[in-house]
Amino acid sequence: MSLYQPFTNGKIGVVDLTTLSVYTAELPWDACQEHVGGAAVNAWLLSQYESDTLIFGTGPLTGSFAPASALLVGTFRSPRYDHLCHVPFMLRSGPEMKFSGIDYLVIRGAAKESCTLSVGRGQVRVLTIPESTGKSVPELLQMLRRSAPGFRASIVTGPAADQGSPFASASIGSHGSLDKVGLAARMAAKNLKAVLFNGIEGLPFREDHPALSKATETMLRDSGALAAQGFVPILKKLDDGSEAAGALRGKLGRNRACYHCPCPCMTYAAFSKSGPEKEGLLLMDHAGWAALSRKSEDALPLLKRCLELGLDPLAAGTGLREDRPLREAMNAVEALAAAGASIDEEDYPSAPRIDTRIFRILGGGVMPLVSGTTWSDRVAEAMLLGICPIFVQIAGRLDRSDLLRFLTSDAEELKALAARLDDAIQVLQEGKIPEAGSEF
Amino acid sequence: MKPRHDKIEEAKKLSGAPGCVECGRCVAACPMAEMYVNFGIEMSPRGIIKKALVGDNIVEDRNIWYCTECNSGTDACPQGVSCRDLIRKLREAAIEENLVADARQCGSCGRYFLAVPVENFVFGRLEKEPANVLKALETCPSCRREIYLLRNA
Amino acid sequence: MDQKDRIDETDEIDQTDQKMEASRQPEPQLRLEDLRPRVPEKKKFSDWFMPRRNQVILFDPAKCTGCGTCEMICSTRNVAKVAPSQASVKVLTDEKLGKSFAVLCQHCRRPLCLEACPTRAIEKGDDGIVRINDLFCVDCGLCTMACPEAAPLRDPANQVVHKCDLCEGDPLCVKHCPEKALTTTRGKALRWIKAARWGVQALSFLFLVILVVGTFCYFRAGTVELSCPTGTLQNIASSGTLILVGASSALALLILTVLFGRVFCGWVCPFGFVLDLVDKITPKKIGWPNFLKSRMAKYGVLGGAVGSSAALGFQAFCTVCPIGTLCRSYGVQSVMQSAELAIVPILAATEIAERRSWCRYLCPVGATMGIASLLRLLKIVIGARKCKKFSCIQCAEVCPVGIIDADQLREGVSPKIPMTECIMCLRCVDRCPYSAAKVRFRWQKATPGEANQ
Repeated sequence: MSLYQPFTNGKIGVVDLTTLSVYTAELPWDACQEHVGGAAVNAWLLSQYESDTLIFGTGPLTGSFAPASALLVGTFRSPRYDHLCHVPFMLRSGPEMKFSGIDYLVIRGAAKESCTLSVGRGQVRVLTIPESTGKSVPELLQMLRRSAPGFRASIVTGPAADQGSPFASASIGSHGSLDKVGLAARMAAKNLKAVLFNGIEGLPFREDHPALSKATETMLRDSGALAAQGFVPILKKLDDGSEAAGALRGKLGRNRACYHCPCPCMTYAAFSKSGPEKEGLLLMDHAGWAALSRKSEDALPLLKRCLELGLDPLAAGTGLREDRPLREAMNAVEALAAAGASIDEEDYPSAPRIDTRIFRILGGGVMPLVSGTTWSDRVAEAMLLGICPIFVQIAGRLDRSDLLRFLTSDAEELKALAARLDDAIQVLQEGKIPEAGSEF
Repeated sequence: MKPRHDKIEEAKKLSGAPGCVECGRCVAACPMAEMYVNFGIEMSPRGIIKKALVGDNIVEDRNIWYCTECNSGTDACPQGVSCRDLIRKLREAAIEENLVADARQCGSCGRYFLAVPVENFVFGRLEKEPANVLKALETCPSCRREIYLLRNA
Repeated sequence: MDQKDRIDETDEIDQTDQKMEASRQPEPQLRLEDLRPRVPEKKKFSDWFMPRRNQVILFDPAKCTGCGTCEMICSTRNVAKVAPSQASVKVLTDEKLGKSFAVLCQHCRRPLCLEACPTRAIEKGDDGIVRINDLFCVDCGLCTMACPEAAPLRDPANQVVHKCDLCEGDPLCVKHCPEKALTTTRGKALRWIKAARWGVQALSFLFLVILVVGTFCYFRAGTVELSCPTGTLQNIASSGTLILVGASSALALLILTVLFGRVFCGWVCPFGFVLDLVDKITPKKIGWPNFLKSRMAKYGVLGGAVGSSAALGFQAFCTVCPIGTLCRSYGVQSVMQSAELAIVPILAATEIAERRSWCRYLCPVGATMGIASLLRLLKIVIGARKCKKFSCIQCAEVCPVGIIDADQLREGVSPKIPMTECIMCLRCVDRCPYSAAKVRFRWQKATPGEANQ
């Protein structure tokens, strides 16, 4: 098995929504050799098709034994900026795409009526599900579970995207995501409501692949950064995160981790909307929560509403006025989910001490837990290899060679791979929009 | 809803039933011989395939409810006929026509997940167990796991 | 030749076939059940003092984060691919509750899947591992139907049934779980409480029956007094006066009960000791009909004893009480007393129907202790996180007063133990291999809180 064959199906799926045609093709191994995988190969694929194409792709380590190998990258040309945007999707998105039989999904054109893509057994199907627009995200998922049962991961858009809000955010299931650069708007422009993954297949691996590398074992035994787990410790690392953390006291439930991740960075929260029944919510977006809790004491119900609408909580938090009664805040959130909404903040999304352009190239949602260039290098590396970009920041001890060792133990191959990775990171950070058909 | 004949034609096409040469290897492999004292031609995979090829009243036949859908017959068949796919489709057609006397619904999700003769076999094997153990059989496996989670997580 | 022609030709053969089939006598069919019969588990002598310690996997749901590593790594062993949907363990997450749970085979002591399998493909080995023998398995899925947890999982890709086999002793899921929610254990080895209790019971019998000449009910020799609380109550009722001197030792016994529960019944009572011995020689129980089984009856007997004492002016019940009779039995006896002795074997014979039937349904001393234990300090809890529920049920089997609800365990719930009925023999605590059954202070919560701050 060559270096790139383990943990890979060797297939890409191409969908043209204008003509509703679907085909699968073999993975362009040369491009993978050159660009490694993940965001970089997405960008290369983008150069082969029209500029409004949306690409979902995985990396060589996605679905592998590497810790937190959960990443799916959505690459597209954002209408807001002059560069490419790569949005990371975690939970089970990346592995389930691979288990559904393809490694990259290219979505071209725009459908005439709202459609859903269902990926399974190496095939992509285009489904038209009537009355799927305008529904809140939980309602949409319920409908999808009835009409297209059996999916194990999903990326959906909510009413905010249908209404053309500039702050719409794609959602992994009903949990939201780190999409702050308008991937949902791109999906809505294509009339694409949801992408479903029915992964039941498996990925091959070489017998000499370590399931647990020495480095990972040491890392797991290490108390340090991993001892503090869950949503709150990560939150506290952000500016004014301690206050945001304080707002959650007494409301937290169990921690939740993404696929094969040893450091859960998400936690369930519960609050009573009305009556003794508690509503559950998965806290995933640290920056979004910090922004909302800064502006309101009822941040949990507001966050829930954002997730139902498919609206970016960071935008909601930035756009809200401070300390308003719940009703007014809710109305403000609804307003942001409509077309033509705007917020005063010009610098949205951005992060302190990080170059804004690079921040937005890498999705605009991955909060910095390490400083400056370390952040951009590590996150870019993660997006190329298919590992969660939050995990690589927490597990600082796990360096590149440790991760690459999950692919190969041959020293020569490791060196060559590392060099190519360096080049690919460079290109990624430039964020160039490739010319169609160019040798990117 | 499609007419019965169309559904059966579809079932026959999907399972490859017309390819049956009546060799009987599926019957030899079938675990129903272990389960039912009165195991005979009528409920055997060969018999059902034959009857399905002849007419549409197979959907009303109670004999299609003895199968456990294990797929051993398909594995044994030299022609690649899938007795399971055929019986599954026939059962779906029967459920759509509300011929559900021999089908059990899950108490939780309402799906028809078990055939009564199969359930009786399991009850017979578990007869020494207390009644509440057998209550587990009122739900389909997925719902049973969910209920276990709710009780213990 | 198309279909119709072929059918016409074989029609005749079919009709002959069917006639033959109909006229055929049902012949005894040799099935796999006959070729591979159910062999009951061999009981070894060493089981009495040295329990079988089979390896099991314990799952702590409070630690589970739903990462699915266990599924992933298990599938690498099942199908040599990374394919979580083809694993023997399934991780479920309830999004509303925010809780994750791993469903996997518990390797029950009495596996239901083993009974249900039509081809007898499932076997429980000497190492306790319940395995599916691939030679006989036809992937019918009836094992999943029979399992209370639906643990054998059907692979959606290949429709094959996969069930945990503990990786033959070195489970991968346990090795790779990052939160250590899955752990493996052989259970605890030492059952010392049993030895201690038999010792105390024997000593107490020696003391009360043989050494102390007289009776437990109302005995006085110099400054030593022994007084049964029930006897004291009857005494007060019959004589109408409160003799404080006699009442003090009864009070001591009651205080003991308030502190520790009905330890008298489990560790001290000489008749209880006799019952336990009879139980050892009558392992097969025939049971009582349901209408006789009322735990409240003993409170009625208590009421009757006190009432009759008040009415008759002497302690009528104490003459026929088996505990008292036993205590009076050793030493010089009158004819009347010798005849009374017959009550002991008659009541001990109830042991054949149910263990400690006397204690459960009739004993007024137990009733008095039960009332005292309403103020108890201690309780026995079965911690749901460690309890193996339907796959174990040893506590329910070993409890002499039958207050651990086996039905609830079979449904996957750890039952609450009614402490007024518990005789604090601690057999459950002793027997539980996973330290799930334990003694706690009354105010302690059974499972600690799970919220993260």
